[in-house]
Parts: sequence; structure tokens; C-alpha cells
Amino acid sequence: MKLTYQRLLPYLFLSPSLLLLAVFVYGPALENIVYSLFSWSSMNPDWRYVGFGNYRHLFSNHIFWASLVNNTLYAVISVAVQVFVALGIAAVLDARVFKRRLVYLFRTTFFLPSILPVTVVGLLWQLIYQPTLGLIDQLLFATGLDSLSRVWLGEEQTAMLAVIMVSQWQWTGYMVALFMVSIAAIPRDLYEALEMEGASRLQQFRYITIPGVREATLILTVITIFGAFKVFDIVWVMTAGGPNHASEVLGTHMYRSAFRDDVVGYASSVATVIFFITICVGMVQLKMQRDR
Amino acid sequence: MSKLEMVSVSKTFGPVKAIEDISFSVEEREFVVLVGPSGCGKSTLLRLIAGLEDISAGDLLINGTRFNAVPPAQRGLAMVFQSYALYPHMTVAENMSVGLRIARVDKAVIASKVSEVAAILQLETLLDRLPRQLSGGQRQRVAIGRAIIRDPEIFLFDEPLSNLDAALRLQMRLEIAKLHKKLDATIIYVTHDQVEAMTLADKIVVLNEGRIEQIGTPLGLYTAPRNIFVASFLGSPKMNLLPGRVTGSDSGTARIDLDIGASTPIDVKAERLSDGDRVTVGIRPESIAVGAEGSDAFLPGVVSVVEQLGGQTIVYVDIEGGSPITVIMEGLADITTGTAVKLGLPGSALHVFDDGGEAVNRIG
Repeated sequence: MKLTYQRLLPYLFLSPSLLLLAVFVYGPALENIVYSLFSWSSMNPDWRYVGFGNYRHLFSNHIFWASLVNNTLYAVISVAVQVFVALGIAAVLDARVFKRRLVYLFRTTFFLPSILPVTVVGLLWQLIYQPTLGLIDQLLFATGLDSLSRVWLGEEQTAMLAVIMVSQWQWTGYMVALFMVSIAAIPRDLYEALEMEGASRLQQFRYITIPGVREATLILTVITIFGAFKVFDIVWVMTAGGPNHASEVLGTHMYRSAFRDDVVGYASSVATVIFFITICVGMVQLKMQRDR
Repeated sequence: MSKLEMVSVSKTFGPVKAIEDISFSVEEREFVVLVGPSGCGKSTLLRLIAGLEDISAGDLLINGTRFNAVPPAQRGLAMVFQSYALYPHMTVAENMSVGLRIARVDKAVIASKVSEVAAILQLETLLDRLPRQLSGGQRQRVAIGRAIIRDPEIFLFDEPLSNLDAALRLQMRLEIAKLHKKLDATIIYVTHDQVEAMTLADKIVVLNEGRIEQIGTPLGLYTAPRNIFVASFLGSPKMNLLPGRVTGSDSGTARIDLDIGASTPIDVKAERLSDGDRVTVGIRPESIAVGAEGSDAFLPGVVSVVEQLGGQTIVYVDIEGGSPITVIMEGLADITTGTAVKLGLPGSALHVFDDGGEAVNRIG
């Protein structure tokens, strides 16, 4: 009797959060897969079972593929900047190149954008990107580089990259702070031992810092990729996926399909694709962690 | 010419003086132990020698050349850290050879050096293991191997045994002593453990609050400590210290009355002492005789604690009006708690320290 009680007790404590997860996360995720097999809209009570029809439509839709490419570009650049550049910056800040006060100043300055709301960031950068009057164009004019001036958010070639750069500006400092914590946990005497062996700063980075932050790097890479495939808000605020779907991502494509075009079944199939992409990334992470 | 010389070296961290005007030398093949309590500056001193900290004032000479500004890697030194500082993602072989790989030494040469050092330290079967798969003693050997493989001019050891349990510490202490002989190495070794210092050192440098208290051979320091600090730091159990007063002194002998009642004549260079001076008399636990026959002074007391260690017995005796006195008796002594005893203090075994804690020289 007592044994059964002890065995059940942990589940009792877990049950509130499990219940919330089931109702608000796993339930809707599974429900969404069912929705994606129907053709339906919010204005029409008739649901029509179409099997994989929504998916056939999805995979033949060039906007979906353009969105997927944009998400992938988002992920690649974000991993490069928010993970690897951030690691480099964190290592430099930790290497006692700068005085401690300067390190605090840099760290805080880099970190501040991450606490701003996305809408504020979006509006701020819309002003910075503004043609002619914006800060970037003003800088180009001031330095005689007028020919490089663009309608940054209004041209198909630059819109996506312009939005991606804003995301890097906002989140790289946050990642730097996380990497600095991770680097600070590496024992100092490992560096000193290698210094006595004649290793340069770069060799110390290679032999100690990189292996020392491997776990953190893996987790932050996965989180960054998750974020890149789920991105919606900053794109919606800055370009709403335009011009001509040039900055469309899966999130905005799904939102537009569901709430503007009212093809909710189709939007559910986009959501399902995002769901499976993130599951795949998560499984890769788990496998890499197990392999270690 | 000394192998290494510290000349009036000081180190300050902001307003804090960690090392103050320290001078000592290390000869070729000498095993020098820097010993002192926590915070005395011994590890800082080692880091100054290693080049991991900058010297604030004074000179570091190696083979007669000033090395103050030479980068750590070019000083010809190898250091074994207290935490071993093994790279967790590298195998034993990679840990030992990392310095050679950085120096781009030929792979075949590296392989032969690794196997040579592994043989010296009995690490042959562990070369492919990661540090986390090793025991504390094995990690310690890898750290030593990493130092040996570089063939340094001088080995620096920073409290290398402090993370090991008592049995392993004893074993590694013996191994380090053997290694010193086998490699004909010059070693500077930091520890807070006076037993390590006494057993390993050719020369001991006793440090306290950033200053040198005394330099000498282990037995020299044990038998003729320069002051109360050295006297009580070396030796376990500690030297008994009994306050007293000079009551009579002539050219060669001073008579000292201990506060706890006994009186004894001691042959000291009495010119530094005059009647009425406060002094401290020290006596090692093993020098005290239980039973007062033939002693110059004796103290009555009652046994409060008996510790039977097998080879010896440590007896704590309560003295009326004073601190308990520790006595070491050889073998398994037949003595029990509560026994009334008379402790004999042979005059020849007494150390006398003046009011400032400095030893008063004995005659002869």
C-alpha cells in the first residue's frame, strides 16, 4: 500500500503541469495535424476531408518553398552570427584584453537590445532602414557611397536580409552573455597550464574554450535553429512578408493563410511542417548529446 | 651559480602586499619546498616563478639570467597544478603531448617520448583514456607526466597531493621522492603540509604572511627553529609552548621560572636576556619524559586523553594553571586517563624564545 503510494506520488506532483501541457501544447499539436487533413474555413461550418490534399497544394506552392528557403537562410545566418560570432566576442571579452569595466560596458551594450519588445525593435529599424532619411542611407551619403543606397525593406533582393540582420542585432548580445557564463565556468588553470606549454591565445581558444563550451554551443545552436523556423513577429512587424513574398517565412505564410485568406486547413498543414522540422532538429540535438 | 634565485622579490595586488622582499636560491638538482599556512603567499611565489603573475619588485634569476619579463613558456619550467589542470576532452596521451604538438614536434618523436614517460609513471595501459575515467592518483601521474615530457630545467609543484586521500598521498609522496632521484630534477614544491615538507625537501623555505620565516634543511629547522612560528609550524603534534620569566642569568646560563610552577636552568647565550624578561619555553612532545627522574625540571599533571597509534602513544596531560601538554611515548604505553604523572623536561631539549618570539641561541 505504502509502496504504491510512494510510486504514485511523483506523478501526483507532475500532474498539474502534465495536464496543462496536454491541454495547451500536445493536444493542439495533434489536433492541428487532424485539421490539416480537412478543407475548412472559420466562416464555413462544413468541413471537407481532403486527405493529403492540403500538403499536395503546399508542396506545389512556390510561396511555401520561398518561405522555407528564407527560414533556412534565417537559420544559417543566425547560427553563424548568434552562435559562432557571439562565441568569438565572448572569448575576446573573457580574454582580459580589455579592462574589466570596459568588458561590463560592452556586455551590457550588446545585451540591451534583447530586452526590447519586438515591435519597438521593428519600428526602430524601420526608421534606420528608411530610404534617404534613415540612418543607414544618411551614413552612405555622408561617406560618398550613395550608389549603395537602397530601399532596404522595399526591395526583393534586400528585404529578407535586412530583417535577418535586425534579428542578429537583437539577439547576438544575449548569446554573448550566455557564452560568457559558459566560458567563465572553465577552470582558469587549464588556460594557465596551456600558456606554460607555449600556446597562443588562439590555440588556447581552440584547445580549451571550444571544447569547454561544446555543450552550450550545441544547445544554443538548436535553440537558434528552432527560433529561425518559428520566426514570425519581427518579419510581420517590419515587412509582413513583402515585397512580393520576398521576405515571407513559414510563420507569416501560415498566419496569412489562416487569418487573411481563411484557408485554415492549408495553414494547419504549414504548421505541421514547422512542427516536424523543429522535431527533426530536436532529435538531431538529442542524438548528438547521447553520442557524447 | 644557483639554478634559480629570487632577489628581494615583492608582489602587490592593489594595496595588498602578497609577497614582501623575499630572497632565496635553488641549486641544481635540489628539492626545495615552500611551506606555510593558507594565505602565506607560497602559491603566489610559485606563480611568480612560473610567470603566471608579474613580479612587482625584485629579480628572478634562472642560471644567472634575469627572467622577470620572459613569457611563461620560455622559462624552461613545467608546472603541476593543484587541480592537475588536465584537459577533459583529451586522452592521457594527448594531455601529455599537447605542449609538443603546439611546438610542432615530429609525430614519431612525440610518440616515443609519450611511451617513454608513460613507462616511467606506469601509465602505459591508460594512454587512450580520458581524465574522467582515471582515479585521483592516476590523474596526478598524468599531470606529472605532462611536466616530465617537456624535459624542463625546473619542475614546479603547486600542492600536488592536497586532493588525494591519506593513503594515496603517502604513496604519491614516495613516488615523487623516487622521481626526483631518478630524473635528477630540480624541484620547487609548494605545500601547506609540514609532513610533506619534512619528508621530501632538501631545503625548506618557511613562509608566513608573505615573508620568509626561515630557510634550512628539514632537520635543521626542526631542531633549531628561528622563532615560535617555525617551531610550532613544523612537527606534529606541535611543540609545547610554556610561558615563563627569566629569574637569574649570568654569562652562560639563564634560570627560567615557568608560569606553571617549574623552574629550570638553561644554557643560552644570556646576553640577550636579563632578569625579569618574559620568555616562552618550547619543548617537542617526544622530548618530554613521563616520570621526572633525572630531568632538569618537572611538572605534575593528570592524563586527560590517551591516543594509541600502535607505534607510539600520544598523551595529553592537564597541568594546573596552564594549557594541556602533549607528550609522545614510544610504542603502546601502559597509561590511562586520569593517571597522575610527573612530566620531566630535560634542559637540553628546551627551546627558548624571547618576548618577540625570536629564538635565543643555545650554547654549544
